Amino acid sequence: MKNRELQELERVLGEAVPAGLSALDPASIKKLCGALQHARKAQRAQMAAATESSLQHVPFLLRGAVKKVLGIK
Amino acid sequence: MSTLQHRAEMQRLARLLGPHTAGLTYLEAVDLATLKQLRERSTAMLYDADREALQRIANAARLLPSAIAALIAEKALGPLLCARIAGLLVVDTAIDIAKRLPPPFLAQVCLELDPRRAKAVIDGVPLARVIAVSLELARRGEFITMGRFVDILDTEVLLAVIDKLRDNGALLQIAFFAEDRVRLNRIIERLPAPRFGGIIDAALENDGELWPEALGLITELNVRWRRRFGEIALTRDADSIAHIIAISDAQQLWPALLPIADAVDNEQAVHCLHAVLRKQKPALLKRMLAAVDVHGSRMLDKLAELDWPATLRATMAAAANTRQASALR
Repeated sequence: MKNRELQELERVLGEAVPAGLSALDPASIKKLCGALQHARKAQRAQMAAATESSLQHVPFLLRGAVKKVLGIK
Repeated sequence: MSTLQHRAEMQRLARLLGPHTAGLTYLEAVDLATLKQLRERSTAMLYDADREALQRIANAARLLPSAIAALIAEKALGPLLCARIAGLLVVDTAIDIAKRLPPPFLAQVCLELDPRRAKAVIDGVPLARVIAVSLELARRGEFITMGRFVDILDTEVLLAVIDKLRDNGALLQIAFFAEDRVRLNRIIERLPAPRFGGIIDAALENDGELWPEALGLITELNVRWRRRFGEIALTRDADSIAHIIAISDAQQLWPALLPIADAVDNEQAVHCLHAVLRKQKPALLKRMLAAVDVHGSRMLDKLAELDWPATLRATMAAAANTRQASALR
């Protein structure tokens, strides 16, 4: 049971889980996993919103080039 | 002290993971080293997770005049993304943009930044701007973040900031949260003399609110600076020394206080401490001596040779005998 939670945490972190965390109970590991995933999602959402709104500040003539670099169609 | 460092590490992690992680209480039992590892790995996860997209934004910034890039940074990207992108920009571009951003916004960026990932940029920001941002962070009480910058800023820059930051309580807290103690010793070596006394004064204000931080910091310094701080503290007036003893006793800080007292060579300081301890209740002395039994103390050997009132003589003699017996074993 706990191994499954630790594997999920390792997947989210993208590298080995610090050894000291293996002492946590499964529910706490799950909470930590959730906090990390939430932070990633929040960062991604913020980035998407910022990419869109940043174009409004770019001079019209430069927008095409900036869109191209940002990968926006 | 480890409790304070633990609290600081929890706050660093909470800052990194965002406001929705207010309840990290389930990590309170996790040791400090593990928390640090978790923060390092979480930082890497967040910086690397969207690296391609972040790099694209950084590349786009190169196409724009710095004035427009700075406008976008402030009005559209916001402090979190600016912090993530800072280390991915061409250094000169990043510096040019940073020069155009107002200090309050840069202070917000600092809160989200892993300074080690943007050291080249930080090193290129003009001194006046670094000072302005530092003062803004201090005004907001962001000492944990400032402590992280102590670990990477150039010593001369730090000294210039310290010169402008007149609040010794703030200085004490920033130093407490800095992780690189070697660097801290180097900075303290060049600290103007009045700041040493000022730091002790600040630590004792508000009934010793910052005294645990002060002890936590001083205990980890080289013996030379422990002696300096110890002698400044123990050559103050009797009421101040009694205050130091009362606070240290009430907060069970003897293990942190003893190594500082042990570094003291100044005879006047030993006599001042002795004069105050003579007036303490036997119960307090017993608690101090219990800490000495566990942690040892050179200062006790010096104190034991001095004259004690009858009520305390037996306690001091018993402690000295116990120490002699353990030394012989």
